[in-house]
Amino acid sequence: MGIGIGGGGIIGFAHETVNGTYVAPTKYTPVLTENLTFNPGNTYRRPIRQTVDAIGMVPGNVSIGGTLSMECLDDVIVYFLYCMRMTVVKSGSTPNFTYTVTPTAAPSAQPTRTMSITVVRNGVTFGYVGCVVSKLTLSIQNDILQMDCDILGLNEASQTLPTPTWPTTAPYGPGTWSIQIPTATQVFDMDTFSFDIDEAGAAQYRLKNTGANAGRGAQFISMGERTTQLTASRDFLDRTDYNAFQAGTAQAITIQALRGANNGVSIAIGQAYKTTYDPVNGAQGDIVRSSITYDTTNENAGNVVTLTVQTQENIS
Amino acid sequence: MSYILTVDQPNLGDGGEIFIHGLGTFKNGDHKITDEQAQLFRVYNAHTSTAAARDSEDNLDDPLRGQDWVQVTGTELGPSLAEAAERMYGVTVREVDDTSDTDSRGPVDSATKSQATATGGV
Repeated sequence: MGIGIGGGGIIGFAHETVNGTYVAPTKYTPVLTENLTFNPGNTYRRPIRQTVDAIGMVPGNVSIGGTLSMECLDDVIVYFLYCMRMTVVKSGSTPNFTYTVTPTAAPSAQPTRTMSITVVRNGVTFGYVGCVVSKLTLSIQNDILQMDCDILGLNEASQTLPTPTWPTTAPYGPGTWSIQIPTATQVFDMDTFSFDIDEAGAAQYRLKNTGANAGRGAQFISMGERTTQLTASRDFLDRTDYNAFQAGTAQAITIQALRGANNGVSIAIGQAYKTTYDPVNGAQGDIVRSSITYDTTNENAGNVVTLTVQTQENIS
Repeated sequence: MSYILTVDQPNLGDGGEIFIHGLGTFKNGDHKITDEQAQLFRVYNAHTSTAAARDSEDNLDDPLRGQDWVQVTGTELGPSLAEAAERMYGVTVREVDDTSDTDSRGPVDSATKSQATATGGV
């Protein structure tokens, strides 16, 4: 191959049957950016031995990490939600399905599934295995609902160059939003938000001499304390919501991106407390607005958040 | 010679579509692909290659061979439809005689039709 550019790249993925065993892609998605990397974790030796240089290198624990940023497509996001510490309940029938996704209630360390992610760069195939989503961010970027998936994986190896079959679904943009604060009360004062679920994932290494890369890969990916947070930018209209902020009153919040009756992505937060709320006067001509941070709990709500995806994608 | 491209992706569901770069948009089912469409698929999926320049009968790179400050690249056609289908999930391709009676559909109408010409590259 000659010198290549990123536009020729391909991202595909598939759920694995066995954690860490490569599966060729069954689904592809256009991405905005990707930076999955193989980290060899080399240890450079610097004992005291009549020198100030490193005297050698010991190959270290291998880790896979990076972020996939993409337009949030309703036929794609569910694949990644399965690879978080989530319970996914599928309902509906052909052609319309609903995936109701809730954080796993039990303090489990493991996600539901793992995936193999295939990345083609300048015609060269990289197969990342044992991948899970450690953090998911849903936000509005360039007026479009964007999802960013922080990926942790076990290992990487060369694979057969695939031929992609791309989805034709459209992303969500202006005219698809319903912002409800509190839930069931639609508001029209928000112009952007960022919602993230952080599972505090970490690669776990164990002493071994088997597996890919001479046993240097992680034995598994664990999940830790979950943090679910929403930040939003809203017009400041009156003190009603601000008084609730001062009083520490919780609210239920629903954010929906909908296209017709059968397609959409919904975020329903049961108990959101405003942690920061700072309406300020800007310059003379600036609209008085506030950036608000909502932190969440699962008290009185069962689940800290419920994600609902309506799509025609049939995932088994 | 033409081809029947069969899409069988269970995850697509009724009405779901996939887009194959250089070929078009397809639902699950059989689709007739003409020989011209198959050739355009190879053109659309061509890539640059220094090996292609070395193998070129034009020998355009001869005067420049060995010069560190220049790289001459040629164009290699992409894989054939059959070769590409072997690496596609849920897609198979078979050749059919042009005289055979088939009512299989062509690609689904889409805004993303192939625009490449059939002329070769450098």
